[in-house]
Amino acid sequence: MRPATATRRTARSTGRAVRRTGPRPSGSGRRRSRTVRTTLVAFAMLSPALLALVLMRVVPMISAVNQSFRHVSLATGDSEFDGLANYTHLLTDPGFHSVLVVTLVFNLVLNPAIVVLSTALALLTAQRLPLVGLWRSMIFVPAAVPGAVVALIWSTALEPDGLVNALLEFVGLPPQPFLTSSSQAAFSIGIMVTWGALGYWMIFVIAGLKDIPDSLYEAAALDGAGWWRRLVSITLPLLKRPMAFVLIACTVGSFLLFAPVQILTKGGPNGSTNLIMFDIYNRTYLLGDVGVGQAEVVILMLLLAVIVAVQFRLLREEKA
Amino acid sequence: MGQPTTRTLSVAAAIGAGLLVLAGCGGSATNSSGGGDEEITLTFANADPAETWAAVIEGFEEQHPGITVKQLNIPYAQYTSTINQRMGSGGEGIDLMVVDAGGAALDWNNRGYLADITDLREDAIAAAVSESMVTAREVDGKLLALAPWTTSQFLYYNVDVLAAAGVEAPPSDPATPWTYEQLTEAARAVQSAGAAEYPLLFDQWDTYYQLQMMGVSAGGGDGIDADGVVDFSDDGWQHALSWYHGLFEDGLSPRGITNDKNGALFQEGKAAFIISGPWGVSVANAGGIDYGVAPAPYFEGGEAATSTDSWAVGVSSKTENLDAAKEFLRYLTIDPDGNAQAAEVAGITPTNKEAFAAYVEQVNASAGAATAGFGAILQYQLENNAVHRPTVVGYSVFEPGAGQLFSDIRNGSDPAERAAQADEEITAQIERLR
Repeated sequence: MRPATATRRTARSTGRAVRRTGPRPSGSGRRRSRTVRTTLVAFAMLSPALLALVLMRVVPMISAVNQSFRHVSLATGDSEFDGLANYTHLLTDPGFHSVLVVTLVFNLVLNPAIVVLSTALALLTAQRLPLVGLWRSMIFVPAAVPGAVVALIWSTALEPDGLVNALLEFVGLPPQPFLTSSSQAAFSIGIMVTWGALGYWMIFVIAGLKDIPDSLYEAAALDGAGWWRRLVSITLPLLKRPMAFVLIACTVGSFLLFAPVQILTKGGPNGSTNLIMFDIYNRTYLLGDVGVGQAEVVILMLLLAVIVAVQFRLLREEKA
Repeated sequence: MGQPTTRTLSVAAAIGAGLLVLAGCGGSATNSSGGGDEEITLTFANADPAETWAAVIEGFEEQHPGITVKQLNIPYAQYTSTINQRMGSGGEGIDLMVVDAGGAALDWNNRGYLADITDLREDAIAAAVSESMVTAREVDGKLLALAPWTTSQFLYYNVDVLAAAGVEAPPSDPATPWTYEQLTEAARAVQSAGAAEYPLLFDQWDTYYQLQMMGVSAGGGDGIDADGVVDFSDDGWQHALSWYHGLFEDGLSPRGITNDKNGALFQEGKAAFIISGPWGVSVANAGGIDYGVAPAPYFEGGEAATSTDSWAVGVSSKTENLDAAKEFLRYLTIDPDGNAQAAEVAGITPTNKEAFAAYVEQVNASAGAATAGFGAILQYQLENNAVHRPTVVGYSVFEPGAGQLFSDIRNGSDPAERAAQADEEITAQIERLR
């Protein structure tokens, strides 16, 4: 998500520059040939990135779409065109319905929570607190830990006789089953993802906070606005853009969540953490059902495309 | 900026692009020797780190100066799909490959990926610890792979913990193992005496490899038949699964502990019993605990059964170096020195009689009285009650499905209901993929 946004911005500004130079009366052939040469140079310089884009994104995408219409026989290895059969199988499979429900509910709960908490932490660490740099760093540190390591740390902490239950018992609460219970496993994974992600997303909100001109706060102070009034009328409205970005980028990230599920629960207990990325991996690599796995990839791409469209819309409204 | 800079940059960019293209294509550029009679390069695809096979390759190359063996190390999770893809698109550049236990040999035989190596059968059986470790890799009377490694299962116990709980240690005579019922009773005694945090651990929770022997021992068979019909609902499997379910319900075994931690917990003296493979010896030795080794249990009224097998190695049907590839396979399995080298780094049991004898002698002596009976148990189990994973179409679908079933039962799902669901889902999935 983040690179895509950056590319769009660059493309827009490049477009403007071209338009400006375009209508100018051409003084001489030399100038025109220089323009052609500049364009060629631009293409040459872009070519590594374009090639990488084609080889690593476009080709696999085409291959996924192609395979989603094919059936590979487990017995013979023969691959044949199978029309929409993979999609029909997937869309009528109660297992896939439950994957969609688990993934959507997980995202609907997790992402707003991350946005609210990272904004709250950003606001908190934007206050004049002693050692504020230290607090910020401590909140950010988990973001620098790879997902697999985060999962392993939490798997030990969330064991039935692990650290978290020891703390619960210390304060007089009953121990919880966490990852071994179908009603708590998704919640437990949500907690560890939030722990790992908060600091990262907080940085974006802090950047947004720094963009708000001090003059607005000074004017509001002159008008007698208190802390709460300034938060509701100035800070939050002007943070809408970074918060929308965090919400959407974080949603995309959460849709692609895989490591903790693979390491900790393998989609269980009873499918309660079978998020869509793990289901794709499971169908493609463990069950050997490549066609259906790729059909699921295509459905995931479409879902994410809808989310990106929503992002455009949110950002456009903000501009108007 | 001046023009030369722009030009230099664009040239650099073009070179960069060229390199990218090369990098994109480079991965598939493997070779096999041309028509010459010297300098053959064999490519050996496996799912281990390169060092696992380095010693045996070095030994082989020393004895066969004209042959070089190059490894293609593929991560385990992608191994089967990578081989399917590479072999499906011509199989160029792969001469030998490891073949997992279970249905892999059958699947790859149906797809025409594996060369018939029946001409090695007689020598392989003569050299192997047991005949079944060779014949388990036969399909339609054709031998398709040979196993350099094998495994079995043992009941390891902590002597001090059992003494503290007043429990008598299980016998080490492989002909008279404990029953699972006796084991449960002992684990209960450990629990009520508070002698160990974990009365009973398994090395690999929720895996078919670990649980197959329990289903077979209880009379439930493999859980899948030759037509790919799954049945975990029969009396035998239900007996085994209810027992498994009960261990966690009663707190004799822990939920939420992942497989990487079990060995370490036993090693640290936190468990009374662990059911584990031959590698359990080195794990326990590293802990400095007083332990003992007994044969794997069986269900009362049922038969003794112990899980076995590991990777085998097959020759690609597309290889242009069939003789050299077979020579390497012969060295890996039939040659005692080669087989010992093949098992050395992995620390796993070799299949060749002579290599096996040397391995057993070394393990028996590794921890005094604790391991003195290890070799006798291992040999007895391999010869008398080893259960091989079923060679059926759809095994690759069956195994992960069974793993999910066991995992859910461990976490509290009802064994009968969850087994019925697994029977239906896995059977339908196998049928769909036929």
